[in-house]
Amino acid sequence: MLKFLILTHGEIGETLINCVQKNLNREISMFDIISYDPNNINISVSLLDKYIKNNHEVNLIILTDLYGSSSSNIVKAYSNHSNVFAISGLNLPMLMKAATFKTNDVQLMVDEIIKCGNKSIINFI
Amino acid sequence: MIKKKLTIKNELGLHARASSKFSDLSSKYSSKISINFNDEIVDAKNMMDVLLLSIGIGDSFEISISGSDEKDALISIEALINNLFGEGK
Repeated sequence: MLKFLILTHGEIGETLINCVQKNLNREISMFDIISYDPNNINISVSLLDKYIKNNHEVNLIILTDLYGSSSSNIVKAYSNHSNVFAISGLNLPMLMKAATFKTNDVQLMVDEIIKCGNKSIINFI
Repeated sequence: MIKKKLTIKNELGLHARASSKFSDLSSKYSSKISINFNDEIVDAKNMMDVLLLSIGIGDSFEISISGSDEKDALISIEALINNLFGEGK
């Protein structure tokens, strides 16, 4: 089983999910969100720790927005958890890929999300 | 295997919602369905791969369908395109 956690600054996560729902024209309930507040890091750390402990029996893909930021760095504490995967640089195409790509293979899902995010960055004019 | 050239007719092209409908419809069939646009070949059941082809109004692509329900799949896909993805324009 795969679960997704969006750990992003402010309202980015909710906004992206709203956009995915509008683009796919359906409700999406597969993403959990922790809105990261740099002014209340301890709350985010606590929520993340609780979430990971509550989901220790499933594969977790954590999507963060800014690599190197504290929101991403707090995830690194779980690098020794074999069920925890993390991807930074979250954008709308990555989230749409996660919502539409069907697989239970967590590594394949991670690879596809990253590939889609990279492929979507185009100097098109 | 069936191969056919199809042309997008709706104003916004194969945009996000249209790509979603396209891949959802394709996924209802067991046949392997691929799209060839500008020499890039993608799985029609993969919504984001379809979307990122950036196919606009008037653009043509080749669809290849291979499997036991290939004829039904082509009929449905052509109908979706001709129906302008249900968007009216």
